[in-house]
Amino acid sequence: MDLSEGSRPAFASLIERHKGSIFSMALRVVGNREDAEEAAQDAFVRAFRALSKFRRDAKFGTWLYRIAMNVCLTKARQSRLDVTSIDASAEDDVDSAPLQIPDHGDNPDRLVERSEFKDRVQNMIASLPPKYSAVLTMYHMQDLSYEEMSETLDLPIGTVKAHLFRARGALKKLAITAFEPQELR
Amino acid sequence: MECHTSLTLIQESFERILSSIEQRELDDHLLTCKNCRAEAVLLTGVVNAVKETPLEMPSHDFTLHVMDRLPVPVSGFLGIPGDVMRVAAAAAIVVATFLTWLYQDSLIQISKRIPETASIGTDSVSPYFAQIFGSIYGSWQYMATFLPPIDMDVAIPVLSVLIAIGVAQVVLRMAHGFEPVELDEVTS
Repeated sequence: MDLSEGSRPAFASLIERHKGSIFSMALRVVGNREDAEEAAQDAFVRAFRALSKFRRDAKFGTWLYRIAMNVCLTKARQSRLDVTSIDASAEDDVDSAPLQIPDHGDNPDRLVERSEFKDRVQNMIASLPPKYSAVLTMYHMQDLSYEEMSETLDLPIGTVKAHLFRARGALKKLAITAFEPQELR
Repeated sequence: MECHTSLTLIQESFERILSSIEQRELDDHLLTCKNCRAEAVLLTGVVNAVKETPLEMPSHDFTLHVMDRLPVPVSGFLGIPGDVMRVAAAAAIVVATFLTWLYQDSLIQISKRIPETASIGTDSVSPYFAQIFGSIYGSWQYMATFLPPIDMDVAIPVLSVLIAIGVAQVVLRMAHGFEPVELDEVTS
């Protein structure tokens, strides 16, 4: 496929190949289908315009992901300006002493098997600060490496690891506050 | 093992395989610490829920929407390559500027005859167009009373150059298939 010359059919097949992962990421970061679809479209259009800048030695998926992530983070920051207090509370105390967590047995699968738990956790990802939902999505859903995440987010690997650590903590904290203790038993 | 170390190891276990010593110490701690055990189970449950998030698909016409939004390839206009059109745009500016300079006296004379033409009305143009032109010129004269006096010797060449730039813009737009010419917002 000769992408450098803006081959439209070739680009259409690339959209088909990557639209699921790009849209999924967008959905987790921006939080609703309408904005996610718009962000994903913007990402592909920007990528097409910038094809001449794509380095042949780079991986197309990572490059596209980086563009999409930038679009989504911008959109998420715009749409979440009014929820900074939620962001702040999610960031607070992630590293502090453990919260009082209800005992829910020894098997985490028991939790995940419950569909309402899974659904609500998946919705919670979108309510995290965008940088946290971004790293969670990339690492745990898209299986990107630290190096790829670092390149995508233009952050040092150490910062990516710290974000990931805090993101899991913030998600766990949201889960504790979102569920009644008896729901976690 | 301290609870703080235990919580760190629980987090790290999602990213790397713990050494056998770390794993054994963590397991021993979890057996005795109810709070850390609850933390481990909840965190694992949360991470597993994230991992099991299904791939979401956009609307079925997503690809079509994106393709509709893609800029038309810069292939030119009426079969003329885009690069040629760009050179033509640059040449249009140069030629128009040169002609403006060459015929500046004539342009000034033409500008001075405009009021006469407007007042003559029906001699050389149809009454309909004369009426429109007269209205426009009348409006301009009315507005001009609020403006400082314009030196036509300067204004006409400047106006001509602006028109030349406008023509060049149109040529450039044609080269882009009349798509908006945007700067790239993406850095590689």
